[in-house]
Formats: sequence, structure tokens, C-alpha cells
Amino acid sequence: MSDTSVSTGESAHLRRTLELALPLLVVTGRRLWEHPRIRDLYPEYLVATHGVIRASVPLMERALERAQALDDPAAAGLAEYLEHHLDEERGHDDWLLEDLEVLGRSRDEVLARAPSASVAALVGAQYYWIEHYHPVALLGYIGLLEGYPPTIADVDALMTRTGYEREAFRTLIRHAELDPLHRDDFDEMLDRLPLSPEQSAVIGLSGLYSINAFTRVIVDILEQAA
Amino acid sequence: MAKSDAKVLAKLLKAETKGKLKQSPTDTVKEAGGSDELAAFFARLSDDQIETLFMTCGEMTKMGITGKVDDATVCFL
Repeated sequence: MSDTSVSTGESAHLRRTLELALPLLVVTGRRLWEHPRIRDLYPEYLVATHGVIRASVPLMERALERAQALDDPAAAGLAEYLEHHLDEERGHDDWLLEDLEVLGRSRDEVLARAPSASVAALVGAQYYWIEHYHPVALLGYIGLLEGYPPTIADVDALMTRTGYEREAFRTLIRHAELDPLHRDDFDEMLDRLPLSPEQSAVIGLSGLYSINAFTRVIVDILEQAA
Repeated sequence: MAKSDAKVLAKLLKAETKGKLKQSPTDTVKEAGGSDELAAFFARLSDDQIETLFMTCGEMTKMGITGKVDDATVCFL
């Protein structure tokens, strides 16, 4: 099922697709950030986020390897993008561990905890698509995770609600500053990528799936407070 | 997206419409009063994307989430 007469750019199409499902994640995220017990829940949110972000570079490295081994134009474009973007994402899991240390959670304690099933489901689906279909699927995940960062005002409000010091929010602040730039780079790259209809579809599917799966990660945290 | 399409979306994203959207997206959107742009958008979605979109709508209903979120900022990384 495809309409070849449609000329809307790939990034605009992806954004429109994601934004139909995004209220699920936006509202669930707000329920967490505005929760009366957010002071207790914020460290848990950082731990869960660390579980996700620790996999970002390994996912991209694997997608890069797969893309380099494939012989199609989209894979070549993907590899070029990932070679550049990998370095931009390196070390972000350490930022989270540093923020958690400010909150009194040691690295050893955080790293000893098994990531939840919902974190594994979110990240694990990407490994599946990369390994068994096409690494271009990862772009739906990246487009979501880097496409809708919190604003500095959001982070300031969270700081006030939790009462924690600014040093515990460095990851969020850096992402609020950097992700809008990464989003622009991403959209430009996506619009240049010579995707087949099937590759375009799996990118959208990966993004939509990730909205559902990331919502589950947040719901798990909210349920801890219930 | 045309303003009138927001109301059309509310009609389209209902369980009974899912099969029709997969089979004949353009006709289904046009019958619901949607714009050419919205029809073209749905025509570009794969069956799996439509399934996942409807799954999301089901989750939103379960969680009492309705309506459009004006500020699309998501509070995560």
C-alpha cells in the first residue's frame, strides 16, 4: 500500500506519523513530572533512562556495522550519518550516572540493577530490526528520542518540584540544549536518504512502537508510586 | 494539516475504521471528509504502522488520555 504521488518529505511524514501517537507519551511523561512524589520518582526515572541510554551507542555501532555490510543506497547514507552521530552520543550514559551520584546513588548500585523488561522491550526491538531486517529501522527510534526534548523551562520546573540541586539535572539540561540541533541534522539527513517504501515504513513503525514502549517504561515508574 | 482534519482524525482512529483504512485509505479518508493531504498521508502508512497507531489509540483510551496535545514537548531524553 503506497501512494507514489505523495511528495511530502520523509522527515515531515515521520514527524506527522509520530505526532499522531505522541499524546500517549507526552501525557504520561507529564503525569510523572507533575507527580506529587516526583522527588522519590526522579532518581528512578534517571535509572530507567540510564538503562535506555547505555544502549544508544552500542545500537548505533551495530547498525553502522550492518549498514556497512549492505549494498544499498539507504544503507550507505545511514552509515555516513551514524559515523558522525555516534560521537555526539558517546558518554551520555556517564552523564546520567553522574547525576545519580549527586542524588546519592552510586555507580555500582545503578549498574548492579537489572534493567526492567520494559526497558529491554524498548531497546531490544531495535536490535531485532537491525539484525534481522535493516538497520535503517533505528532511525525511527532516534527520530523519536532526539526529536522531542524537554525545554530548559521544563527542566527548571522539575528542579523546583523535586527540590534537588541543579547538578542532578545536567543530562536533561544538556539534552534540552543539544537535541534541537541534532533533530535538525536528523531531519536533513532523512530527507536526503534514498529510502524504498519498505524502508520508510519500518522507520515509521519503529518510531510508533517506541512511543508505546517508552510509555510503558514511564508507566512502570508511576506504578512504583501507586 | 488542515484544521478540519483534526475532527476527521477523531472519526478515523476508531476500531471499526481500521480495516477500511488499510484496504482503501484514500477513499476512507475522503468519505470521512478529510483533505487530500490527509488522504495522501494515510495512503503512505503501512498496515503495520496503522496497527501500531491503533494500538496506541487503545492505550490512550485505557489511560484516559484524549484530545490533542498542543505542546509536543516530551519529558524524556
